[in-house]
Amino acid sequence: MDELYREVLLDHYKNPHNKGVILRPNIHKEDSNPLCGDMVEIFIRLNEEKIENITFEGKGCVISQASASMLTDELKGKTLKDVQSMTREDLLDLIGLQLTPARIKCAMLPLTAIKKGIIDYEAKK
Amino acid sequence: MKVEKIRKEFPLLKNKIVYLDNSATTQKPESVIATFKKYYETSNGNAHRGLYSVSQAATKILDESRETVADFINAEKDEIIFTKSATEGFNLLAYALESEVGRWNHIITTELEHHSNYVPWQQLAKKSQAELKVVKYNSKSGELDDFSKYVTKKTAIVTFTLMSNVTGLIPNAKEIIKKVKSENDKAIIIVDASQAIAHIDIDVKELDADFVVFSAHKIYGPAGVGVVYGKKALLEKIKPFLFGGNMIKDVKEFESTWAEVPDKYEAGTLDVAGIYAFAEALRFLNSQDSEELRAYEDELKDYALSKLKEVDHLTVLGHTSKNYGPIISILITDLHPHDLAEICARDNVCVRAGHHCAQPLMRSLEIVATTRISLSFYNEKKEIDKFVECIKKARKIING
Repeated sequence: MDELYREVLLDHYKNPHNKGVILRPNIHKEDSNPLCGDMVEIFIRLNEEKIENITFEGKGCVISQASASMLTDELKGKTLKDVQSMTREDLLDLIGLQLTPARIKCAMLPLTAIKKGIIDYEAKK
Repeated sequence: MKVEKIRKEFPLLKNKIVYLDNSATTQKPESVIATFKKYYETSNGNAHRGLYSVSQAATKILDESRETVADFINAEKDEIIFTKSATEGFNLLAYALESEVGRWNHIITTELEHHSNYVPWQQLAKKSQAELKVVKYNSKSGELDDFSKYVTKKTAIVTFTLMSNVTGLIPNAKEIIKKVKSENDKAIIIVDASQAIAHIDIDVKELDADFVVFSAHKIYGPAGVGVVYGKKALLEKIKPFLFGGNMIKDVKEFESTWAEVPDKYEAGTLDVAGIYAFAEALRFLNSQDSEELRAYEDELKDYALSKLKEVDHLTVLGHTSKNYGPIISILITDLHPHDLAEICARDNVCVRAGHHCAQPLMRSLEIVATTRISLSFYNEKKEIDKFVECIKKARKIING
């Protein structure tokens, strides 16, 4: 079996969880990795600083899109502080992958977008 | 052609690697690699500086290497400036030509360009408040738009590639230059030969561009050496890019004067070992039958195109005529370039995925990335077969 393209990852890629748009989100951020052509757009609805709902739109490689699907699952109910303290290692543990530096960027894209969105949101408060 | 024989000259190819990313950088022949050792063991001194033997040896090597490079493109020796890369070459020109561009002028570049021949002009246009005009690429015909539509008496600079690093398109440079000159004989014409240099003959006198820029590492030489060819009169007229050692004639407390061309543009200690190795790469090529190599690269390209055509849901960018080099970008509807390149990499098949530093072209084509193979005379048909197998394998892994 292929380590990188494991069944569970491919399943998230083909049938992504939390894909779609939230109308009037509290946090909305688009980010891309132009070098390889990955794009994600994140939508977050908050309830007292906790993530009540989080969705994404995007296109790109298996790693970036599956990462968005798994990450959005994980972050429901978490506080913004929890998200900000999430590290690269936490994310790689979550998706269960050993990646080369070029592919780490793909995996990190959704988390980077979410963190940038939170910074924008905090700045506006 | 006996490809097995030529492959033996390239040590890295012995590692069971299928190397199809020659547009990014080519592999080096043994003789080029050996030149570094020879130089540092016998001739390492600072060129132009010392009166002792190794400095003189370095000066002689630099001089002779410059001649080898000049001969390769039919230039004069003092029309060759060494830089550290083609990118530095374009930046040198964009800086040195500042005096030739005012806010009433415009600069013409094309959608096909690599960022290195795009961004320096975009930034020069901004700085000098000139207009940047971008010649369109027509994806249907696979050709560049007619330059006549863009050139006027206000055109200060025209710059374009001799071979696209994404699609392989070879614009008809002679015709473009003739057109530009008939419209405006004062416009300065710069061509990017980074990809073309390894695949087509370039004769600067026949081409009649004012500047030609390329790098050594894309033509079997080492990284860290670039070349700017410039017409002597222009090189004498425009200002130097880098200030410091070697490039001065006289430094007074508040004024300086510049050395003669090419020294005027070569401040600092040059990578003489790299330049020597580059000249060795050109000697290696000169010792081959270039017509045979070109014909074989063409045959490889046609073979790749025919094999790729057999793959479902696959589109080749361009290649609508024979005016294309052995660079092929593909799009596959159900496979992201990054996933394909990753699965290729595990079988030691080296291909490139991404925007290839050509975002203006990607935007014009409304795509974000392609998968690219770029061929050299040391590639084999069975390597192309292996790539096609990888596409099928990737599709199976990702889409089941």
